[in-house]
Amino acid sequence: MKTSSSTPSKLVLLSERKEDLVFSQSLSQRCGLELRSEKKLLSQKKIIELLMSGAHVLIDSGLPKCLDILAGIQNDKNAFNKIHFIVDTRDKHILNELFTTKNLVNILFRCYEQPELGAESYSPIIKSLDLPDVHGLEIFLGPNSEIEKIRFDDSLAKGFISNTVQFQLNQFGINELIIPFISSAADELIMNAIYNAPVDNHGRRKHNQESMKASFKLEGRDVVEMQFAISEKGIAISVVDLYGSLSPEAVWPHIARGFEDDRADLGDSKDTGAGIGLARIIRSGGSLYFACKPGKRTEAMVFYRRTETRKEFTHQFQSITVRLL
Amino acid sequence: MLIAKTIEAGPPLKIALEGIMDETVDLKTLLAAPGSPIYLYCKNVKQINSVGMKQWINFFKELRASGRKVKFFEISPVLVDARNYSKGFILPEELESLCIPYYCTSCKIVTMNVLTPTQVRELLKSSPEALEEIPCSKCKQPAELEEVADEYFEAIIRG
Repeated sequence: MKTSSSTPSKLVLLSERKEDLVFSQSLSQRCGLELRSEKKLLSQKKIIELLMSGAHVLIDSGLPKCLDILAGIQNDKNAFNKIHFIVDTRDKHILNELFTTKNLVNILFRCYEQPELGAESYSPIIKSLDLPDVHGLEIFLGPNSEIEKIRFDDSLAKGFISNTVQFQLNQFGINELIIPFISSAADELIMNAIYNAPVDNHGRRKHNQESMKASFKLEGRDVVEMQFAISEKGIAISVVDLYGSLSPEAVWPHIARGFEDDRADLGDSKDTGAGIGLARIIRSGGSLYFACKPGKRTEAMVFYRRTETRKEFTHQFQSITVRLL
Repeated sequence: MLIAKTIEAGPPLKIALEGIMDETVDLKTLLAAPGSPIYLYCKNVKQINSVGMKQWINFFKELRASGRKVKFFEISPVLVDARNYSKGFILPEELESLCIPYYCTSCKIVTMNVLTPTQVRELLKSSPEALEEIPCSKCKQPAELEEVADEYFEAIIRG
């Protein structure tokens, strides 16, 4: 199956929810896409035709059998990229189904108290999905954004980076209760890139047994790149590792932990903590975007809308994209 | 970096924790001073990452197993969040008090209130609106609770 390479012209909403329509209207305007809205699921054949024509399709995940669409698409990652499932965070049953569905790429959460703000946050994600590759924050924030680029070659530089992030957030007048959560998000992504991403030729982790208190050089593929930006409207962090060892299938179970009702049993868990970190980023209001290029690089990004209060911050519009490049 | 400052040698041994709880912290060394019970004052623990959470849980699990008692006072919002997320982080019987953040939109500052879990439970039951605002420490105008009560007090409600 081949998708059209021409500029997509349509945004198709399949939902009977009024708030989804308001969100999609704003999103289509921002992305320059023509909106088509249907209150029920279209046939699988029709949806595949739309995807092949380059359209983005937003689907209310509460519609029966909507996840079957993913099974109907045969290995066309461009088509997978353009399906967006809208879900309510309180709907645990559907969330569980989504998180275990193969080839899932985009989820957006129906927590848009102000749908326009949600559309503003999500429009750069939609635009990025039309590009064959993503690298860095520029395509999300615009060419004139001030983006700090940091490349570090020592494992203990993470502490310094964390302090720098905190200092800058302070300088921009970010609420003191919000700062630790953004700084933590940066910390988690860097930790993942340093300790979990590097693998040997057999796919075994190189550093996870190493004492995290020890300093070691990050050379060659072990070098970690980070970008950080604070704009008038948002805050964004990107961390790149040059291993590309993270598979999209491995990401979703970690994210799912952020939505579990039962408290996590961390003491007995074997992982170094990156999975917990992702769950906590989601719980704190962050939107995640993973661009996975197997064997080459993984770019993990977190986006936040700037808010005055932590209450607004935690309950802002959120999305998750886990994309195979 | 996390710093442990001894407030009183005790008993009980009183220690104030300040800073960031992450993978570089060795709680065994930090809390090596003898004495039981240990009272930990945590309002200045500013950040905790996932590895820090695991280390915290495992350290205090061992401490409990050794028979040493611990009590936590004035736990900061990041620790409240960590406790809400994970089992065994601070047990209900160990939590003496917690910081509750309020934000004044005029002064743009945070005012912390400290309550015991019993006080929180009673207020949630009798007059939850009393938890929603307190006077700003600067202008004395109402400062609003910076969290959604059901979420912030989740672990306390669960018991």
